Amino acid sequence: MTAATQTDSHLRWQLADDHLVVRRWHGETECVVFSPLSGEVHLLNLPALALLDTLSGRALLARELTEHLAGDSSLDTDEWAVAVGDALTTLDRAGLIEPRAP
Amino acid sequence: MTLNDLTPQSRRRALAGAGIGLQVGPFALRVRSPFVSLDDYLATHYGDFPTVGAGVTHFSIDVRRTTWARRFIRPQAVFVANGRYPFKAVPARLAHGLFEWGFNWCVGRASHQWLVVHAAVVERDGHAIVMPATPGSGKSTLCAALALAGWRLLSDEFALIDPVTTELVALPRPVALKGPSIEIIRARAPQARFGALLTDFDQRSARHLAPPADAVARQRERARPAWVVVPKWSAGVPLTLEPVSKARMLAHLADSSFNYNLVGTAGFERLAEVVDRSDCFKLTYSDLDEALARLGALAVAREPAGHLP
Repeated sequence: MTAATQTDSHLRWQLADDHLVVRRWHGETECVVFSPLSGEVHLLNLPALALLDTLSGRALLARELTEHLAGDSSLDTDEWAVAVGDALTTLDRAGLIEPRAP
Repeated sequence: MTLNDLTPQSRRRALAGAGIGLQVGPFALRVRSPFVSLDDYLATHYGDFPTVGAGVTHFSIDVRRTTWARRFIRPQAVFVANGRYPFKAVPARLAHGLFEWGFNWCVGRASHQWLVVHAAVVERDGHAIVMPATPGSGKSTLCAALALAGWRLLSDEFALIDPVTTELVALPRPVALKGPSIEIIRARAPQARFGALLTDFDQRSARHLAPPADAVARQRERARPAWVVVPKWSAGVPLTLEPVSKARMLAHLADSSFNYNLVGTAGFERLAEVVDRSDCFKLTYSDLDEALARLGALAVAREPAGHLP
């Protein structure tokens, strides 16, 4: 799946594994996420982690994700839209999120 | 009683017959083989290890001849562990190398009571350095040099991590040195015992350095992780010891682990704990003495932790 597809307005995204384990150390700009479902470990930046947190327990459109995340940051909405698109690409490729069946 | 306590005749007879039981780190293995070259190798490289009876055996290892005709024409050796044949037959002159490669296979496949990470481990004053690294990084050269410079060898290949305590379990086997590393280490320790020359699957030369007797005598002692260091040898570069983020090191350790995902969330948490307890670095070096001095300085800066049982 490409980033362009991921930001298609009709796709709702959800976590592929509801039991992700996150390890983050104080002062570091990266964190590690373990998926018990896949048994894989992923190194993520903090925007990607924020996106995972936002998707916890719900499925959202890319536009809704951008709005949620932009509310917590000094970045403007356009910048967040790019950041969310990048993070969706990363997380989709890592198998940490998936589109919800319509 | 150690293997060296047997006479050469009784050792050779046992190896070719019912087998020799050895306690190597936490593993009890029984080795059988008709190859005199493997007998010689066991005597020089496993002579200090305790022998064990025919009770519990983790790995039952045979290094056998293949067919009767192959005794005379280009003789071959094949490795069998607990009834399985993981490798193709190799020329008989590689029998001792086949034993070591097969032993690695056994540990990597059947040690799920521990978290197993592909890494060298050495210890001083109760504090251990875990060195996960890719082939060609100089890990084994550095590990051998540290083991010859007063650090206790726990392992050149496997960090065995207790999933409850995160202590490191010793498995002080011979160190596989390749290419120029053989002469580099031989020059530093002319008295050290080396195995016969091997040519591996990539046509590179290799020899096994016998583990120091002290490391074998203390193989039941565990150690606590204090540093995780990713070494990288590179010609002509100045030494650098750069801090690495704990998140990045945890991802690296997980990549280097054989089985953390089989242990599930608990395995991930224990790996994270190892990183949590350790200072994490990337060591780039070209001069082995400089690297030893820098790692020695790390150890000096820590209070001795005392020995673990």
